[in-house]
Amino acid sequence: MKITFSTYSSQGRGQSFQQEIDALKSYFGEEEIEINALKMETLTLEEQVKLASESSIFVTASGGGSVTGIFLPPGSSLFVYYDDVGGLAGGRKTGTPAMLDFDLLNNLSYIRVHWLPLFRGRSHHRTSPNVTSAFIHLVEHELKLVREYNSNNN
Amino acid sequence: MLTQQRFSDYDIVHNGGRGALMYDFRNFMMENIGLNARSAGMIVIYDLILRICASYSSTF
Repeated sequence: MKITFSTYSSQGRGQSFQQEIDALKSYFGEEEIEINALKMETLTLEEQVKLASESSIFVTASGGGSVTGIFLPPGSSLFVYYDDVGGLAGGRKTGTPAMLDFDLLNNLSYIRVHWLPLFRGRSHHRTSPNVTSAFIHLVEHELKLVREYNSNNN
Repeated sequence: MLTQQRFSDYDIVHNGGRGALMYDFRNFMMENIGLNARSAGMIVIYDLILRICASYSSTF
């Protein structure tokens, strides 16, 4: 099962996702999952679409890069990391969540979309053990659902 | 103020109920660049719908 990380998808919001990748590699066996961490702008359009269409889980920062998630196959999952205090109104910071393209992504009824905060405005960090553990369990749960979907539809 | 802003941002839903339309858009875009858009699972579903329609129309 393929998990794709879209790394550094924008200058301001882009992430390396290295902590999440390392956590998944140490938790799952290599034969169980295949992890791809790629900077999408280095790929052609066809390569990006093909990669997304073959992924069980697509992890990205919110913003323009997350729209590649529309090419995920039915029954798969999109994880969108958003800036929880990055909201703007009239060009001014409001301290509200910046869940960009919320209306588009949440209505893609053929995939499941999860919004995960970057915890920029909180005292705890995204890479703290509890948050990393929650991420791993979410991935585990989603892989189970994808597996069930595929076995019911193939 | 912040609470008001938080809620007003999500007052209007623009794409509710457009999942099927967006799925068709995805498939059109993929087929347009030469990729196979429909997974085996979805072909089964479309095939089933076609069979039901054919069966229904053949009764008249």
